[in-house]
Amino acid sequence: MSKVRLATVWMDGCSGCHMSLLDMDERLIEVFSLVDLVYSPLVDTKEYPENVDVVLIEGAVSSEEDREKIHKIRKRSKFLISLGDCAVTSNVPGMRNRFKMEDVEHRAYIENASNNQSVPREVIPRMLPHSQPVHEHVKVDLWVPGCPPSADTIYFVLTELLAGRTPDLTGITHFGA
Amino acid sequence: MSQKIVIDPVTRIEGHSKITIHLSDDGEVQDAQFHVTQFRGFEKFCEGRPFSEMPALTGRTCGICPVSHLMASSKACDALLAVTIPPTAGKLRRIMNLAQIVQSHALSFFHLSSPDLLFGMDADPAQRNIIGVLGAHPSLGRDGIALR
Repeated sequence: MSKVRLATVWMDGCSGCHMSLLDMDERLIEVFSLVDLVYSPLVDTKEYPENVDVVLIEGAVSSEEDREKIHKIRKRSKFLISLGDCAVTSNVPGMRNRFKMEDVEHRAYIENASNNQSVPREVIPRMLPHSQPVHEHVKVDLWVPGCPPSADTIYFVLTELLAGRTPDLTGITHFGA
Repeated sequence: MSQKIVIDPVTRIEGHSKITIHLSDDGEVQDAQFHVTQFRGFEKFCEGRPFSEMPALTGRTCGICPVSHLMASSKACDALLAVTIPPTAGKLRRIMNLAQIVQSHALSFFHLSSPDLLFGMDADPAQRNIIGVLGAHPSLGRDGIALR
């Protein structure tokens, strides 16, 4: 039997969920022996591959680039998991949503800048007016809340999936866990 | 002809970024730029919120180095309250910060850079990662994971 093709994606999050994944420590060795990690911040593959079995998405959809990426990921993945509160509710990135984007940018790039006071418009992705959870853009198969979800939670999710079951997270994790 | 080389995304680092390198007509590097591509707006959305939220909230700036942000924010809160923390608390903060440095360096070296150093930059990305290291050099991979 071929190994499960696993991907992990870091969008508009702090990477804390990925650190929680690494906090599985020695259990990583067990999980990694059962999967092919085909795309991840831990892997140098630049392009999201086809035929991914399971993908963990950390972070909200906040820029045009995130939006483009999440649609491509959805098309190429069978089972998509929103990992952590930013993916599930937009959480911290969503805290800017009560302000106009131009005011947020002005505060950061003009008022607080000591030199080169200008809002960058080249190369870096354009921000969407609001930061949104993943399911506002594509179908999500499983939500795993937590800021971040614990290593135990992530291990439970992955081992349940590898055993062919859909993880039941009742009582295991919650918003802010 | 002038040319622009774009590296997107930059990997093996702790963050989101791109690099653009501008070459002149004769192939010389004219300019190189490093772009940090993630922007959330902490500068604005922290305004008007309770100060006691700040250490936990600004810690979410970076899940890899949350302690640095948590410390900076805690110090700012100490200053707002005009308090001096007890020596034991100061030492605890220092221990936390040093532990974070060890953890982050282990991540940078073992999880991110060691595959490039062990297998060479041209090795297949499918092997050139921490899982490949665990396969080819199990004790080294295990030590890296244990250190972090």
